[in-house]
Amino acid sequence: MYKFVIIAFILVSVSVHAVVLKQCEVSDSLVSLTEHKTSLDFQTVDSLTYQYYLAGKWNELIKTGEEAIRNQIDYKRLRQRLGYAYFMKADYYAAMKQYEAALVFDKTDLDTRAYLYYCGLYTGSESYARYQASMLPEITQKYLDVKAFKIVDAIDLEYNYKSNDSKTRSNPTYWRVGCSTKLSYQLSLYQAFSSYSQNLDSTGTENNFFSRAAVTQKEYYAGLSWKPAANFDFILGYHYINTKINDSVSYKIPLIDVVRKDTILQTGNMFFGKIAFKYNRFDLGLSASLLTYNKILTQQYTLMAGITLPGTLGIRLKSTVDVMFDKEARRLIFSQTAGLAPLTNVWVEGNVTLGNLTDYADYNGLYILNLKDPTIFKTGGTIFWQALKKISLFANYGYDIKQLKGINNTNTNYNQHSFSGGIIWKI
Amino acid sequence: MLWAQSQTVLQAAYVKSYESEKAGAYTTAINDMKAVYNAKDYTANIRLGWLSYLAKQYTESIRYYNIAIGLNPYAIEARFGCVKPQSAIESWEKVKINYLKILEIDPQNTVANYWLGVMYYNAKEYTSAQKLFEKVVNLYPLDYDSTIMLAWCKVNIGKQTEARYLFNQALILRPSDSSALAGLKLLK
Repeated sequence: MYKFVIIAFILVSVSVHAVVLKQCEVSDSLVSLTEHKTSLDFQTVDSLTYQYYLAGKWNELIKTGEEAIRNQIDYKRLRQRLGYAYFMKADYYAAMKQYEAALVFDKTDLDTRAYLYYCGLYTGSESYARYQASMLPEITQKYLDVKAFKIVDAIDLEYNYKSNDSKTRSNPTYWRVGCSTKLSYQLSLYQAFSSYSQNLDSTGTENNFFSRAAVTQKEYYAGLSWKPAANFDFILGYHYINTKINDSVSYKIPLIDVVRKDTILQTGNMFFGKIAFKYNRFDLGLSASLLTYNKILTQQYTLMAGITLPGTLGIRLKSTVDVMFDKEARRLIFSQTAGLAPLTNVWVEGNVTLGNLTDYADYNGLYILNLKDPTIFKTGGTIFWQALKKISLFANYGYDIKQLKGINNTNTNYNQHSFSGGIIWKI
Repeated sequence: MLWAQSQTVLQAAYVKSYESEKAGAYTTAINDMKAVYNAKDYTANIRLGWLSYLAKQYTESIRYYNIAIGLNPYAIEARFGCVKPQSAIESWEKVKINYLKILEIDPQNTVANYWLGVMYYNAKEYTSAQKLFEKVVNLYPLDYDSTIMLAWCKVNIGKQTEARYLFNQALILRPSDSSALAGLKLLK
């Protein structure tokens, strides 16, 4: 009975997508039609693209479909078939472009929304995918395991160890634990607690002068992302900094060893805002942040532009220009990132940053380089590996040139190597 | 007495529509049924859904099937009927929803599990597809279609040992099968 039902069903619904393994051949006469016909008409285009679609002939479908569009033959199903052809060829940006064009004809079409969801997912844009998923029926959302509200959507951990060649700086350590919450399909909240610690020493040439500032900095970060439309994102961030410095100074004066200990507390608050626009392979972002740390105000304005190049490697380039204002001067910072996916579950990225990074806010304000010894050059590489469906691991190596401010503005540089590892666990 | 008469008229209309369908006169068959159509009659809606599908009147067909689904929400045959015109107009998400509803009612339904698996496979949702094909293979270990699809899912999610076993199993079920041989060649 089961076999009979299967066979009967295959006969009537053989058109259920183009199953790679069950391709049927398009007749030669149809193929020769495209080769010889100089002007395409709707019926020919519709018939040919449908046959190519069923047969899984993606290249032929794309060729005919693109030619039809150039000839002003443009309709929803054609865009959907073209979108699916690009999707099958793993060109998700091209697929997204076609499905977005299909939306112009019918904003309520569930197939278009579903494939835009997948395109978002496969191009690493989770917020875009969720935006599209919000338009899908509840039963589909349930099966895709997409929920409007999820109190703990992901947890991430990062540990960082730095090694430097300065005689007066200990090797700093940093850890961070973060939690992502989905408040709705368009709204998400990321919160993180982090801690940084390092000893900063200085020695004097006279009286055996030695001072040590044992710095421990605790931080809290909250970032709220809102996606009011498929191509727009707004991000608001807040970052609180609490720095505790256990300062000890020792020196010798005749007959007396002097030891003085002190604890200094410094706090800081940073407010961050960003608007980001993304169209297919291109994205633009504009952000501003205000940091008040130790009663000093620093302003940072950032312009970001990114592009993902065509090709299976998904090469992505991102350039960032920052202008920073503080009580001392105006500073310009330039940053360039390049990344690619050598394997489907691996992302590799390299970056270089030029400029004085004192109080520099990075990654939407998640990191603030507020401590002593400004970084004046920064480069590094990161590798992300999606080890399991819900678990990603990452590792980072960074090289910084840091500036040690001496007495009478005699600055010296030292090198710092940074090693990070972390895990992102999607619940 | 009246009821018996009306039943005779109804049965006669069905007989006429079957004959018209057999002759390929689908529009006539639809008219035969419309003469006795009652919107609250599940069977009449299913029949008109099917005939409209054969007449390539897909939107009408879906409308009748949806009325039937509304009249008998737990009947999976109306949903299976509905996926045919929905497939014809490439309304795949609605097809998917019908399969999901069928599986809510009948989680072990092999046809729905198989075709929903195919749809997820085509969307490159290999883990979701795998779960569905596994269900069918567990129920029908000798079913070639599900075995080969499950094997390809395993390839795509990197479970090569399991994929190899399944391709070999597919070759037992269908000797010299080109898809299974291609899969084994890929795994070498």
